[in-house]
Amino acid sequence: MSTYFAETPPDVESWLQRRRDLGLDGRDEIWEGVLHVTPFEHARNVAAATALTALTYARARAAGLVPCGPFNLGEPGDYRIPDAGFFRGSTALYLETAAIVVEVLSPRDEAFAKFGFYAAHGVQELWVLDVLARTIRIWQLGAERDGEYAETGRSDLLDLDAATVQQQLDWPEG
Amino acid sequence: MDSGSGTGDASATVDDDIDTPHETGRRVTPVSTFFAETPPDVESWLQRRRDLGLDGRDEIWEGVLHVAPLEHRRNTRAAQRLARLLQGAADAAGLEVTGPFNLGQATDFRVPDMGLVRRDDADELYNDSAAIVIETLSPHDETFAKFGFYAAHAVQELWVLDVLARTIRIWQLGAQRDGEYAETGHSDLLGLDAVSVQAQLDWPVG
Repeated sequence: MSTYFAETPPDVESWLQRRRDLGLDGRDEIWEGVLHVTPFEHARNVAAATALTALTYARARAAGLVPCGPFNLGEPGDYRIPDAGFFRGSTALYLETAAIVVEVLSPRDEAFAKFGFYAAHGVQELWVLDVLARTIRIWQLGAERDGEYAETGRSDLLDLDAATVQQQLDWPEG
Repeated sequence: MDSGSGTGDASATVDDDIDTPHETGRRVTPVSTFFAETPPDVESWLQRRRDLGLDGRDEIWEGVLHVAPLEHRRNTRAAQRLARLLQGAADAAGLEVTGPFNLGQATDFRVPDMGLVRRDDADELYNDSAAIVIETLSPHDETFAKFGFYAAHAVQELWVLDVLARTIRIWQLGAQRDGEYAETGHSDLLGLDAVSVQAQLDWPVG
C-alpha cells in the first residue's frame, strides 16, 4: 500500500534521515515540494535500461544525444528521476529537460503520473519498458496535440520503431 | 551522471554549471512525504499508531493512506463553538451537526472535521454524502485537494474555517456549473451568510 504524510511525523522523518545518511535516497523525487520515496529497483529493471542504452548508443551519439542512467529532471523543489534518458548539451545536477526519458515499470511506481510533468518540461519522447511483459511503448510530444503526448510507437529522434527495439533488445532473464 | 537528490550528497557532485554554495541554498526540505510502496519500518510505525487508536482521522484516497497530523486544539474548539452557533439553523433545516466522520467508501474516503447531515439519514461507518462538509484549515492539510471528491459525492456546501485568520468561506455545488463548487459566501441550506457567521462566532483566543 502507498502512504502519504501531509506532515511527516518525527519517527518517519528520523527514518528518512538515516536513509539519507546512508546515501540511499539518490532515487527519491520531489513533486512540488512533496518527497516521493522510491523503492529499490529490481536488478532486472536496471539491466534492461542498461541494455537499451547499449543498443541505441551509437545511434544516439550520431543524433547528438547523450545516453545516461538516472538523473534529476526539473529543479530542486520539483523534479523527477527517470530510469534512463537521452539529453543534449551540458550536464547539470538538475536538467531542465531531456530529449528522451526512459521509464522502466516497477510495481506501484508512478511512471504514468509523471507524463504531465515531462510534457511541461518539453521532453520530446517517452519510452516505457515493461521488463516482465518484454514490451516497449513510445509516446511523442505534440504528435497529435501541442504539449501533449500521443503514443506513436516510434522515435523520430533515434529513427527507430518500438517494435524493432523490443525485438532487438537483450532482455534480462528471469 | 550523479543521481544525488536535492537532499542527498548534492554538493559532492562534479558539476561545472552550478557553484556549490548556491546549490546548497536552493535545497528543499520537504514537509510532506509520499511512499509509493510503504517500507517495513514505516509500516510498523503505522501499525503501532493503529494499535494505539491514533489513526481515526486518517483517510484513504483511491487506495493511498493519507496520514492526518493531530489537530490543534484551537481548531477543534472553533468547530465545537461553530456547532453550537449553527444549532438553531440546523434544527430548522432538518439537519444535524456531526463531528468527524468517514465520507465515501472503505477504499476511498475523506474525514471532514465537521458535517451537517439530514436528521433522518441512517448512520453508517462510511457515509455516501453529507449536506454540508466543514473543514478547519491546518498547516499542510489537504482541504482544497478534497473539493473534487466532495463534488463527486454530491456534498451540497463546503464551509472552510481559517481559525488564525478568523474567516469563514462557503462554496455551493452547482451554483454556477453543474457538479462544480462556486464560492458564494452564502448557505442556502441554513439561510446564512459566511460574513455574519464569521462575525458571530466566538473564535478561540491564541
